[in-house]
Amino acid sequence: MFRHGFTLLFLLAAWQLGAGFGATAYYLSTPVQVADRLLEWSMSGYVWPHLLSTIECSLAGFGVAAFVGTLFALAMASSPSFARLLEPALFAAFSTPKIVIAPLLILWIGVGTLPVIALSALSSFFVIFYGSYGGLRDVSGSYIDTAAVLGAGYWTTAFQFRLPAAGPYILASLTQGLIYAFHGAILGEMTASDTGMGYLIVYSATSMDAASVLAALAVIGAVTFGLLHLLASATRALAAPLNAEALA
Amino acid sequence: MAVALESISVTGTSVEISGVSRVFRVDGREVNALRDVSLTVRPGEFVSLLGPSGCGKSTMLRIIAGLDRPDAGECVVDGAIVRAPSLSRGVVFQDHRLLPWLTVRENVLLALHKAPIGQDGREARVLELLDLVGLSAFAGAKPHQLSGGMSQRAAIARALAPRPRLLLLDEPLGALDSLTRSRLQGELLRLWEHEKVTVIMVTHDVEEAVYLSNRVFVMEPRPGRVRGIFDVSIPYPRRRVDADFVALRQSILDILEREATAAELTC
Repeated sequence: MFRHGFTLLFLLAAWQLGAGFGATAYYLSTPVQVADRLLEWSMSGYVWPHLLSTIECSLAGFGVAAFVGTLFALAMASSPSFARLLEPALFAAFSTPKIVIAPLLILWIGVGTLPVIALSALSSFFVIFYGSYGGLRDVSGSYIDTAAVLGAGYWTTAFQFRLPAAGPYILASLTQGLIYAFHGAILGEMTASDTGMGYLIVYSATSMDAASVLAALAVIGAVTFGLLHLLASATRALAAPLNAEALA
Repeated sequence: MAVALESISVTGTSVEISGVSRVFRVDGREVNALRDVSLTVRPGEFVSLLGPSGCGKSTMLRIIAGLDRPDAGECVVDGAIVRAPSLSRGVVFQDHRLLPWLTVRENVLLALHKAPIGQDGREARVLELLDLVGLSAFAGAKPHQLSGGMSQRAAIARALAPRPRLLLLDEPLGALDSLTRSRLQGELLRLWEHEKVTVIMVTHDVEEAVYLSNRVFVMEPRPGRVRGIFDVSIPYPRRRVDADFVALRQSILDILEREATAAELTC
């Protein structure tokens, strides 16, 4: 931890000193300027509504993606014929870059929080879907046999056996999904909104304000970093009873 | 407390297997797991399918359970052809297969999710079963907190929960140490008398088969088939050192030995 802090400090110092040469300060700004901007934003309260909007849209998008993603994954893992039906369509949608859908979303549902939530959900959905689907599909046959001899029908097998057995995979994919939802929301804000961190970046960039762009990036980075840590400990806590079996 | 078959009021099912064959494709080659196997199990009987690995005994059990279908022949339990698993046939596997995210109580309760006895009835049945297998004190434990023997007791309780009329045991004690193993053999006999079910047990342990069964089907591999049937007329409880016991064990061992030698010569 100490060494990481040292490296960070060194890089910041190099940046501060290096940015003084020529016209680089215009493009790169300096750490002092960026810190100054961050302080100014938080004091004036300018940044909070934007950050709040991004977080709200991310959570909404993540919620939709988590629900639909795991449900689709469970349905497809439980029924090979359903999987064969949907797999080509899902793969085609997966291979399309989500950002190119943004103009379409604006066309369909206009500008505002709705297209942002949609893009956030879309970015998050595929990560959650594919991660969960693999785990749910490859649940050990011994669980499925056990379900069969205990008289479990389609729904009981899916929800009481398959879903908990794939728990660790689903948790891992949800973790990734949340990060993708956050980044998807920012992408959405960059094209289809007048609030949020994504909008802030685009607005600052068009105003030739490098310090603000970098300050916004710092905020986004800090939130992602915090999210990852939060999720890592949540996953550990949730997966502990499941992993205990493997360790025993 | 010698138990003759006639003296117990039988609720167990009969099993009739006729001409069952099962072929697996392994690496492009056909392996005859079972070829034209026929055998009959009487209601309330305890029989063992005994043989070395690869003789198709577990495949046979999976077919009776309804987890696998034969390529030829049919398996009839209580007059009906087996096509799918049923709650009237309980199964215990070699690995306990308890769900690791549920407690012992919840695991047994899960087997009763279709029982039309209400929530109170289910809870009562679970307590009764845990008491029967001596796990009352561990109702709230997770499977990873149990020893191998205790896990297998819980698995047996789960299999018995829906009151099956046929209990299928796939090397249920195969992974246990010998002390736990012989104690659980006694337990199995007690449960068999108590529940009055038909039991078909797969094992590769000759002593276990002779100790527990009314009849022993000795199987041989490649292709899997029944080599011989032994009636064990020694009254329960049996003693592993009695002359009858030792003699029968030896004659079964001799058959298996000849089988193994023949297999080596043909290989």
